[in-house]
Amino acid sequence: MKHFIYKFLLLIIFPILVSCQDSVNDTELIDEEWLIPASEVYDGGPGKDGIPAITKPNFVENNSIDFMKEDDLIIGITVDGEVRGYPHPILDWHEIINDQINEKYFTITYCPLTGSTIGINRELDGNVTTFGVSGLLYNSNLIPYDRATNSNWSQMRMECVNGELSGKDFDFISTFETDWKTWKTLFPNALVVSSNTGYERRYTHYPYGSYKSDEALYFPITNVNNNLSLKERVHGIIEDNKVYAFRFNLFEGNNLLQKHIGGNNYLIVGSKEDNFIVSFYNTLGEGIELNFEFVEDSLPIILKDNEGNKWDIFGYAVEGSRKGQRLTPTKSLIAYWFAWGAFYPDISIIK
Amino acid sequence: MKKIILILILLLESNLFGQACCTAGTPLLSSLETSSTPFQNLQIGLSYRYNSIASIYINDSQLDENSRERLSQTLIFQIDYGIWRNVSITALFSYVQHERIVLSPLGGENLLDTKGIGDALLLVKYNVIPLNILDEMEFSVGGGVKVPFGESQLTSNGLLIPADMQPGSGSWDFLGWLYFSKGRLFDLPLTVVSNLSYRINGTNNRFEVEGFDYKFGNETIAQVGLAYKTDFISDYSLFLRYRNAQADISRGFQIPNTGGDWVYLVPGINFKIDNSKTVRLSGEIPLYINVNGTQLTTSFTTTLAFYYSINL
Repeated sequence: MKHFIYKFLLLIIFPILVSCQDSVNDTELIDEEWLIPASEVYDGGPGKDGIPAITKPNFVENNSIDFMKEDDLIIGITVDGEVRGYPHPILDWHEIINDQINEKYFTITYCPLTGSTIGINRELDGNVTTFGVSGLLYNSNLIPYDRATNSNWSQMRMECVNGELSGKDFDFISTFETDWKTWKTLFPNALVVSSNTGYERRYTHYPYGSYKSDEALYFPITNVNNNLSLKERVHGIIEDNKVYAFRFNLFEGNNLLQKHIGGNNYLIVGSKEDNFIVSFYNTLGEGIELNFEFVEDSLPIILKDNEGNKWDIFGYAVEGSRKGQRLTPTKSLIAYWFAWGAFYPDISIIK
Repeated sequence: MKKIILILILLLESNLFGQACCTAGTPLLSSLETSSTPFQNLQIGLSYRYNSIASIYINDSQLDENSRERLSQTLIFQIDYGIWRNVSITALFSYVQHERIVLSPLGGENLLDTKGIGDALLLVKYNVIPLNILDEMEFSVGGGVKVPFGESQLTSNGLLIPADMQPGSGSWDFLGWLYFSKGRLFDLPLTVVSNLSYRINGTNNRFEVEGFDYKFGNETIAQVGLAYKTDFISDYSLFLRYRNAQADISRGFQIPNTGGDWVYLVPGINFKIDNSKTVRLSGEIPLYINVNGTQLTTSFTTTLAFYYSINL
């Protein structure tokens, strides 16, 4: 009988033990050269394309949307005079929507863990491509990949950090963020991405529990800045790799800030009640600077100037002699405070 | 003694590491179904478990979605030995393979495959009521520790792989265990079996960053079922298994989309090669799933095991 035990051990167990070395086989080959520390890039879990980007969004009018609550957030963009909305409840599940208006090809990228949205031109070096979700994170922030070169991009760093296009900056497209209640007032006839995405998801269900309001971080970040609550939504203007942060509480009873910072004159317009902050350079093309004041109760018009022009939330003059001209949007977005602190440690909070 | 051993083997199910679903990912102690081992009896088992993790649930609703799949295959080598009259020990060693398959929207699939030595379990069992031939009743208690032998910091392309794709959990876990069986029900060769196990998980520091320890959720397994012994080559069993996993915790916060409740039907059949050798085939069929949030979870499992028992 002992012979049987020995045979059992030798013939079955031994070969198993011999082959027991740890090993990894990954069909996804990634260049190991990164512009960011590779040791701080984490696989979020679902894998590449495990969170499916949308490449052919369907749109409906506001009144056909049934999955949005009044305080759900939505991203707005305008191209050639057309306004489109990209709801957070869709982006929470897909993170990336590739879209086009006329011949303008762009991508809305959104990271639910950093609360950040960035619009980018998806025409790279003259070739139209789409972006997908790599499944990787840096500073808890989305790393999209472009499907033309398979290069990986850091969303909040706004540049390609790995692959053939390493070092190339995002071609930034300005967006703005507000809640559903305000959106319907701003753009009652705009088109909004519908829940008919081609994927079965429960868009009324936020997939990250209490993450928006608690202090949880799921992945390590390079720098934890505790000057504000980690998940406070903050509007940041990026200028020469320096960030100027504007909190929503600046816009209680005051809707317009005109600031001279770092050699630039900025117009920062916001409303805590209506849940938006947008910012522009206060310089028109000819070096002209106008005097602005906030326009109450006229959304989407938010400003009027000393020449009598009226300007909308995207910065376009919609009335007056300058109709059609646009205030240059800043390179800015809203993101959770911890993300700003992680990417831009010397961030300044404007008071 | 041989009759007792046959009864034990009939009740044997070695999936001590069984559940490897996306709730926790790493091979976990799932269920302890083995009874204790008689004095000076040695049992050796080798089992192979195939776990298909392809169902996406939001709470208790299944989504019609098949773009992602996980497979977890586990080999377990198990040794049980009765060291004293009422005390036996169990040791398990595992080898784990995980696969993550994502269908690419551009065609083809992205595959991540990891394999390696998994964690190990050491368990001491005490027979409060030893099994005897007359009434075939047994009650045992036990306690043990899961040793993090498995690698929990494997990388691919220089990047750390997710916790649920690692062979090991990276944490020391502790386990409590109860077992009860009663044979000769209705004067038939029918035995009712129940067991309960509770696992308290430790934390790991796979990120090696202070303050970012990770703890898989504690786990409870309760099981009840019947085993039917025949005079032929095969014996049969049917169990109902309930599993609860608490949400994972990091930085003091619960991680969404982890933890939940599962109820499985566990049919099994034993083939008696002779009085000391048995082959067992069993499976897990989900009857009820209610996960926290949205999770990729078990579609089915199959286990094929070989057991050998000898008195030394």
